[in-house]
Amino acid sequence: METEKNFAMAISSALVNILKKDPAAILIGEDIGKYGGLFGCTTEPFEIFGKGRFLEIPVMENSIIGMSIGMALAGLHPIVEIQYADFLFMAMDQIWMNLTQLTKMCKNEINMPVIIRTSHGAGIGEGYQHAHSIFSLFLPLKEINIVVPSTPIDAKGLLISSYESQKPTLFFEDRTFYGTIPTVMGLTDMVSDDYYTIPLGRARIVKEGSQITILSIGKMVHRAADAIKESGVDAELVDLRTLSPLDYTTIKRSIDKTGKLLIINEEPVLTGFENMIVARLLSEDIKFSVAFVGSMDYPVPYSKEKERSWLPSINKISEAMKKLVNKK
Amino acid sequence: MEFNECIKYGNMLIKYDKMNHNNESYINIYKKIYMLRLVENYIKHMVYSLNIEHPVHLGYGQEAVDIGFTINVKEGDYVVGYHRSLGLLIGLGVDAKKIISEVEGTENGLNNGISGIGHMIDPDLRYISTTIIGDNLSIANGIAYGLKRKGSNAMVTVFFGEATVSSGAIHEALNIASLWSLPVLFVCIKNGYAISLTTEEILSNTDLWKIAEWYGIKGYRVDGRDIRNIIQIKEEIEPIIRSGTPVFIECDVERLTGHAEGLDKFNLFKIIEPNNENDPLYNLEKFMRRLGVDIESIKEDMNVKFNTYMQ
Repeated sequence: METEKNFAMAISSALVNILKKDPAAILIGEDIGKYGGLFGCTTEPFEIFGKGRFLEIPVMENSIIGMSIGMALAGLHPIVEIQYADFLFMAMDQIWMNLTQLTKMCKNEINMPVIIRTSHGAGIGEGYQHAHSIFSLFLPLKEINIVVPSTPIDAKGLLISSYESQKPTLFFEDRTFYGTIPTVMGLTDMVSDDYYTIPLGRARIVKEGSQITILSIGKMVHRAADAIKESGVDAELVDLRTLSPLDYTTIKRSIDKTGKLLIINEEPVLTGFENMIVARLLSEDIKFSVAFVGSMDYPVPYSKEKERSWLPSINKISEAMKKLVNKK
Repeated sequence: MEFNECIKYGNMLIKYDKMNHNNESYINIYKKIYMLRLVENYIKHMVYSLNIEHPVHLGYGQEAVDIGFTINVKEGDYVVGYHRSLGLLIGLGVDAKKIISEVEGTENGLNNGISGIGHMIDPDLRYISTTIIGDNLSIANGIAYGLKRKGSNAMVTVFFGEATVSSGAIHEALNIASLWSLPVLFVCIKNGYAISLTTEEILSNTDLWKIAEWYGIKGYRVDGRDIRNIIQIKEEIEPIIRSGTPVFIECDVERLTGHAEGLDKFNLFKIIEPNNENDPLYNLEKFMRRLGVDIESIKEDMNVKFNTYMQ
């Protein structure tokens, strides 16, 4: 059955599907039981499956990931909720040193099917230690999926695909999405209750266009879509969906067509995935003009108004688009 | 307070001497511990003669702990090591050549020369190790949780040095192991040093076994220089752990070598002095001679076999 689902409900629906399918799947996190998770993603799974499939843990992010590694070794499929992406810094050691390395250390004899779900991004006024988007930070780790869904439909399908990949996954959920139904350019807001997948490493062309290519991910896909409407530029909007694996084929095909690239990232400008993409294109002698829009390079402000201007605005993106179109 | 038990040096040896153990099982134990000595001597020689530049952590002085806790690991049990854990691999029965090749960094190594001495993994033997201080504790807890959830009777033994007790990871690990009644044996090998600092320089309380009390679990202290202590304590606590009560053991040993071979600066610190009571091999030999075992011929036989095998 298909119903209208907000972002949190879509995540919740994916979790229900996974828990139903796989007895070895287990949810781990802080306040994920009766509290339902800080953002309400585990209320329904808890009601359906109860304590037996939930592991409520105290604050100890590094140990949580370490324990998930151990659980994976013992045959479980841990799905961890780290409340804020900012807290991933506390778990960086286990993610970097063990989670993403062990499989290669022993000739792929073991899998590390650990999914780390986390909320990220500025926009709800919690101040700079609860507002970072840090998905690009993990790009040097090749052995991890980096997923940043932009809609409820994608969130559910990509989460189930992450589970099926049996690889470590970082699943970034935009904090401003949870209670809303972020759809973009006519995409349906109906999400199926059934188990379905959306392949990792396949970007979605949100809108076809001929003048410029816009690459974006997560919340910025929506900003870009709005900016396209405002500017009137015939842009091709590509939602990357996952940074690792990266759908380079789609990126390249679009740039071959337009010759102009605008990358919109909510991480501080030129600190994120845009560098990797441009470097790769340049290494292949592809000729294109490029521009970037990112957030500001100072801490995320607490004040609502200042936080809003910290993120790339529709106006700013629209200006960058017009400038790039006119670039000779 | 009876909750924690401190087993005083010597007490266990006396108790153990009176117990009836057949020579055969001791010969097996001896062979393992002597094999470990052969392997470590080989590696030490290799490091200096071939000028191997990797820092290599050898376990001279802690052989009794390594072998004692791993020699009879039961089906389904896991062992989690740290950077100084060659002894665990020998105890578990990993082929000596595979270990030596891994230390050399060659394709024939246990992990094809990729993981190296500190991070060897053997999924079939359910062995894993990490070299970031404290990382292995939470991994051990996770494995134990997985085992418990499956309804298995298996347990996890995790090894670490006193530097781990100075890190925050020990708090998180003991808290969770106790809170969730996980079948984990925490083995702290206290060798007197954290690289160059002494135990007294890094810990405000050097009675490490006492740390268990706050978490409501049992803490023991044993003289880790004599394998009979390890075998006895293991027999005593195994049923407790398998029933879901974690245990912390402080095993006091002497580090008879530097922090790492190949790091000359630290290697000058101490030079192995065999034939004294700090050497677990010496202690075991002394005991077995008393039992009437012909140690020399076992040694000779193993020397020949080892040298032939390594050629």
